Amino acid sequence: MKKKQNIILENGEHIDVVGPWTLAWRRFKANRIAMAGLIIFLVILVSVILVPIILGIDVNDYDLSSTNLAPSAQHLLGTDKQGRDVFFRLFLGGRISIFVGVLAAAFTVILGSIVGGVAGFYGGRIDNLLMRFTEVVYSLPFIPMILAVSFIMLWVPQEQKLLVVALIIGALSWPGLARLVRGQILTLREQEFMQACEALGFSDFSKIFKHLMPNVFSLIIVNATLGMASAILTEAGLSFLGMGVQAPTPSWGNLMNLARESQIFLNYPWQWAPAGIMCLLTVVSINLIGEGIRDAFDPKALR
Amino acid sequence: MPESKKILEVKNLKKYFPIKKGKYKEGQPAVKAVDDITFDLYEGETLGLVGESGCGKSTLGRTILRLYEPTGGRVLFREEDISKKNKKEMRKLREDMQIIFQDPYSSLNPRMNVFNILAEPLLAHGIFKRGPELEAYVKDLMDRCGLPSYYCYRYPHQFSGGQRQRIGIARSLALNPSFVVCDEPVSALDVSIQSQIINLMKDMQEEKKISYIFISHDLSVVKHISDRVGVMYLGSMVELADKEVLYQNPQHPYTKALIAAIPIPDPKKRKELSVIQGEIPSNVNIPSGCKFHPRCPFAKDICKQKEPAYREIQKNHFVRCHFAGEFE
Repeated sequence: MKKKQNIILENGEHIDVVGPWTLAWRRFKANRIAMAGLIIFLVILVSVILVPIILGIDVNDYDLSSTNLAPSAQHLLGTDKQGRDVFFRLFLGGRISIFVGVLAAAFTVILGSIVGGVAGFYGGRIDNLLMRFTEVVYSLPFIPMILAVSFIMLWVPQEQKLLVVALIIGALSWPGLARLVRGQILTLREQEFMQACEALGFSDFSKIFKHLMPNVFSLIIVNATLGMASAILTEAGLSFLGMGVQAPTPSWGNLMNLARESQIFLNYPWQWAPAGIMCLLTVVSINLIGEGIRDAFDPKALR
Repeated sequence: MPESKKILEVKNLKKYFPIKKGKYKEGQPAVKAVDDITFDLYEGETLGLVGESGCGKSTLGRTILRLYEPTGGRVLFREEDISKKNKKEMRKLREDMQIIFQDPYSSLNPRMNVFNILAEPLLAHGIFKRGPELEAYVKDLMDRCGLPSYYCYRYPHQFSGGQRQRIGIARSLALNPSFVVCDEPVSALDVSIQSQIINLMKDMQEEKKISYIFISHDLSVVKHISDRVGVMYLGSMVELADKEVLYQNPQHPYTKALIAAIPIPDPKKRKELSVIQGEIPSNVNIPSGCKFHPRCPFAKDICKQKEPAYREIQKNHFVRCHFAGEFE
C-alpha cells in the first residue's frame, strides 16, 4: 500500500485522501472520554515499565529491620511485613498484571479469530465441528475450571507461572470471540465482493487475508482491548485466591491478597489499597479505549 | 451477427437449489432456478436476458460463470467444457470471463482503495508486478472508465453509486475479458446515470470486442443495448430472438404481455396497460405442462398436460409454446 495522504492536483487543488483507518482515528480523537482513557492507560503503562528500572531494587530485596513502615520520603508507600518497598512492588506488580493481560488477550485473539474465521469461511461440516467444540469450551464453568487447572499447574516453576496463568485465561476466553468472528464472516461471505473475488479467480489465502480479515479487524481489536481488561481482572482474582502468580513475584492480585490478613487490612492500608486503585484505573481506562474504538469503527456513528 | 464465431454454448443447463440442506439428489424437492436452458452466444454480441424477479436470470448468469456449481447440463466456453475444469484451470479461465454486479455498494470491498481494487486481479494473475507499469495501466483503465486517475487512493465509501459502478466495471475489464455477464448493472442507478454507464459499456465492447450477457428487468434498457433478447419465465427460456423480431413480433404469450406492458411516453397513445393475470407460481411446485398455463389467456387443455418443446419457428427465433406461430 502506498502512503499518499495528500495529493495536489496540477491546478493546485488539494485532495484529502481518507482511508478507513485514518477516519477511525479521527473519530477516536474527537471522543474525549476515549482519549482520556488512552492517556491514563499510557501513563500507567509507561510508569509501570520505567518506575521499577529507576528505583533499581531487586524483587528479592528485603529488610527485616524495617517492616510495616508507614509511607515516608524513603518508602513512598511504606514497606510490607518483610520490609519490602510497596511502591516498587506496586509498579512491578502492574508490569506483571498488564503483561498477563496482554498475553491472555493475544492468545484469545489468535485462537478465536482462527477458529471463527475457518468455521465461517469453509462452513458446512468444518463449521459444525468447530462450533460444537467451541460450545463445549464455552460451557465450561469459568472460575472452577481456572481454579482446578491452576491448582494442577502448581508444579510449574515460579518464573513460568505467569505464562501458565495467561495461557489458561486465554484458552478459556476464546469461544466468545470465535463466535463473533464466525458470525461476521458468514455475513461478509455472502456479500457480492466475495463473489467478485471468486469470479476474479483469487486464491483462498487472498480471500481470507485481504478481503475478509480486514473487515473483521475492528471487531477483533475491540474484543482484544476489552478481553485484556477482563484478563487483568481474572488474573487479579486468581492471585487474590492464591492460585495465580506466586510470591515473591508481585502482581496487583497478590498485593491485594494481603488484605486477607485483618491486621494488614486494618492497620496498613497502603500495602493493599494502591494495587486495587491501580487495577481499577487500568481496567476502566482500557474499557474506555475499547468502547472508543468500537464507536470509531462504527460507520453508523454520528460523529 | 450469427455469422461470427460462437464464444459460448449453453446446453441444457440446470441449477436446482435443494430445500433440504446438502447436495441436490434426483427427485428431491428443490427450487428449480435454472431449468434446462440452451442457447449460444457469439463473439462481440450482446444477449439481453429479461424476466420477472425470481425467474432465475441472475442464477443463470452465475451458473454460466460457475460461481454456482451446475446441477446438470454443460457450458462450453470456446468449445471447452468449463464444468470439467479443476480449480487451477478455472482460475486461469477467469481472466477471460467476468461479471459486473448489480449492487455497486456491496460489490466493492470497503477496506480497499480503488488502486488496490483494480490492481489486485492483475497481480493475482501475474499479468503485472508492482511498479510503475502497473500504476500506468491502472490509471489508464480508470481513465477509460471515466474515473479521474487522482481518485485512485480513495475508498469506495467516498464515491457515488454511479462512480462505484464504474469502479466495478473497471475491475471486471482489468483482465481484458472476452465475455462478461452483466447482472443488472444499471438497475440500482438513477436514470441519468444509467445511460452513462450503458454508453460506457458499449464503448468498451466496441474497443475490445467483448461479448455481453446483459441481465435486466427493464425492457427498454435491454432493447437499447442488445442484439438478441431472451425472455425467461420460472427458470426456463420461453423465447429467444433478434431484438427487432422479438419486439415487433413476439410469439410467446408471456413475451407479448411483457411488451404490451412497457409504458408508452405519449399521453395520447396511452391505453389501459394490460397486466398479466395472477402471480408468478413458486418454482418449487412448478405447474404441470407449460409453466405459463395458469396465467396464459390462450391456454388450452394440451398446455396443462404436455410441456411444450423449445423449438425454432423461424431462423434464430426460438419459442417454447405449443401455439407459437399460430397467433394472429
